[in-house]
Amino acid sequence: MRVFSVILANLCLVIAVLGFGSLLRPLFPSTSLRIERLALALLGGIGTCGTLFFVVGQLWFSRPAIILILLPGVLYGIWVLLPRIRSLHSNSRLTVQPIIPVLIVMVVLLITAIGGFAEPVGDIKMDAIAYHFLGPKVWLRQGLIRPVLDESLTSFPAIVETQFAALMALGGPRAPELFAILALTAMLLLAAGLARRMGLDAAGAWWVAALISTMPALYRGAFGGFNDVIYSGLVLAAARVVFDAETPGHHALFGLFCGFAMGTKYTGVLATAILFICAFLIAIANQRRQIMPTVKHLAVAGLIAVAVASPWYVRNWMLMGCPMYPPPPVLPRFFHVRYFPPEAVKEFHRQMLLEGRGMGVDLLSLFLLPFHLTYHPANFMNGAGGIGIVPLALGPFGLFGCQCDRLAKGLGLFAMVQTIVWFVTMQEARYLIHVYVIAAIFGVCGWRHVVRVSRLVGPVLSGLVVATSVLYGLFMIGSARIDDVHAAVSRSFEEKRRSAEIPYVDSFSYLNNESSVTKVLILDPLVPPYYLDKNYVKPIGRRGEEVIPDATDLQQVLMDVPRLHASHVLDVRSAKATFRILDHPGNLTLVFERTDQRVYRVD
Amino acid sequence: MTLDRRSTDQTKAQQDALSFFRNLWPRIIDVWIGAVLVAFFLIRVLGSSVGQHLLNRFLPSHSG
Repeated sequence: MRVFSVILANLCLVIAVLGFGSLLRPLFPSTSLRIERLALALLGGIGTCGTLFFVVGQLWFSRPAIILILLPGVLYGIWVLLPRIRSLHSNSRLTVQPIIPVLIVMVVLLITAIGGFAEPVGDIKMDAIAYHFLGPKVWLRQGLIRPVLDESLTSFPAIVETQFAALMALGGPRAPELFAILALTAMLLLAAGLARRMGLDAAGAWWVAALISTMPALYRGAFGGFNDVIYSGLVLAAARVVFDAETPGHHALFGLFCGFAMGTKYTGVLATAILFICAFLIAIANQRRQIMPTVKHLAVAGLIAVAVASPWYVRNWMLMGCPMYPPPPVLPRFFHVRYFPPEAVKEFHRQMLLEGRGMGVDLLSLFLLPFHLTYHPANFMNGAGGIGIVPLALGPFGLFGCQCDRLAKGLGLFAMVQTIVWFVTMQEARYLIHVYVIAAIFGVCGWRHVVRVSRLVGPVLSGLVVATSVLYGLFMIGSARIDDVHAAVSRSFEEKRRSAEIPYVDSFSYLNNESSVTKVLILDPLVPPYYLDKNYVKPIGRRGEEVIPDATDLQQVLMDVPRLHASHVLDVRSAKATFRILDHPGNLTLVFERTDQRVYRVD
Repeated sequence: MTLDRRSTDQTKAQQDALSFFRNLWPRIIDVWIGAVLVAFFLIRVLGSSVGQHLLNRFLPSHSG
């Protein structure tokens, strides 16, 4: 039953996404292949659906609201899909696909599908538990989309997270984990379409899909609450459209995808700026085209992008004091940031710099970056497993093996500039996924060139390179997801994992099942409130956010318990701090106690 | 006459260089791919903790 509701929720979302995405069809480039149109419809639908959820969610965000938003999309999706399914059924012509890459892609999707039924577990260090899934859970409980004040990262743009909320509302807490299938599929379709557009045949496109799906650094951005694969898909879709754009409609679509990228991640702002610069440069380099119309089209695209992304940034400005929240360096000078003390902001920046250093930020490290990403990927945040060796071994020869037109040049230029900007700003492996995809396409183009030029040793070596990349990637992905797959198929293992990996699980279980609990005061900043099904207040967040005045004064907070309307208090002992409540205050009664965890009732 | 011969010599030298490079290019590709592959096995496979564990198991030290 739990599997059924998860599948049904995801199916509804996919059909609705396809329905909304199909509304953009008139803007698709006429030269695009069917596979590209499907990918653009999926990504455009995800962007449209997420933005709709967010805008409506500012006033009303509950299960009926979600169903009302999804319904037109589902109906239109069915109306669009049915004739296609019928034509597929009546079309008896079978096309032969290359068996090995197809099998590789299927294995990865199968692992993702089975692992997608596992319950999310982990401590507050896991981004999914800390904010990707916490935000949606709290929004649904409160019936509104508002930043969770004790977790500043829930104010990030959240096109993907609003869809996690929809999935939670329809299919329960496990449903968002299966969203990884949609994310991966959209990315693989887009990558295969790009590969075909760059001159590769169907087999080449399948190999691109196989290589991409077995890149552990890319795969990491698809599951466990991460939104990076969708974000990169949106950026690549924008790139695909703009480098081939001819009409105002194409540029409008480009603007839409840029807006969706900025509505998914703050890094989308940088990617959008880079895309506009590259589009302008490619237009200048292309002698046949006049500059002024292109500039006008790009200006309109810019306006569309800003309009589409603005709800997220205006909301943050109004509620949190800064359009980007938590504020990146420089912005605190111009905006008065709320709920985040200046020392906490400084610590946040220090942490960002530390995590984003990778293997250095000097010129030598920039030149060595391709080697570092290939051989030492774990030195970059979330980069463990890396991207295989195809981009380094075969990518450099890709320019000789591809149809080197405007799109190939544009993608190459974009990848180069984006890599440099990434290198200078924040070297987090997940933030470069769109460049890995471009590198994989050039890698397969390079493979074709090697086979053509070097007739004896080259094909053997390049075959070995591809096999090594795929097998190593499969091994790393399998190792990363083995527990999820095990938990999905074994209830006893799932119980064991819950007990081992959910911190203070007994207290959460007590608080969730005790009917007298209405609101919980959580004293320790590192307790993950995702596991709590009741309202809560956490005076200090894990990054030093201060939700209430005098949040750091424990005595004051405890005196204010009646004003906070808390019915219970959760106090824990962690590796970093002991119990906060040492002398039992008169207004609290200890009602539950386990190792390192105490629950008090407010009298 | 001398100029013509010099020009012909230059063209021939250019063709030789081009042909030399054409023959060399596949070898450059092979060396590059081979080097990337070998480095990967040394660093990522043998250099990994699993690789080190296996090496220690199958190549016991002879100290003492």
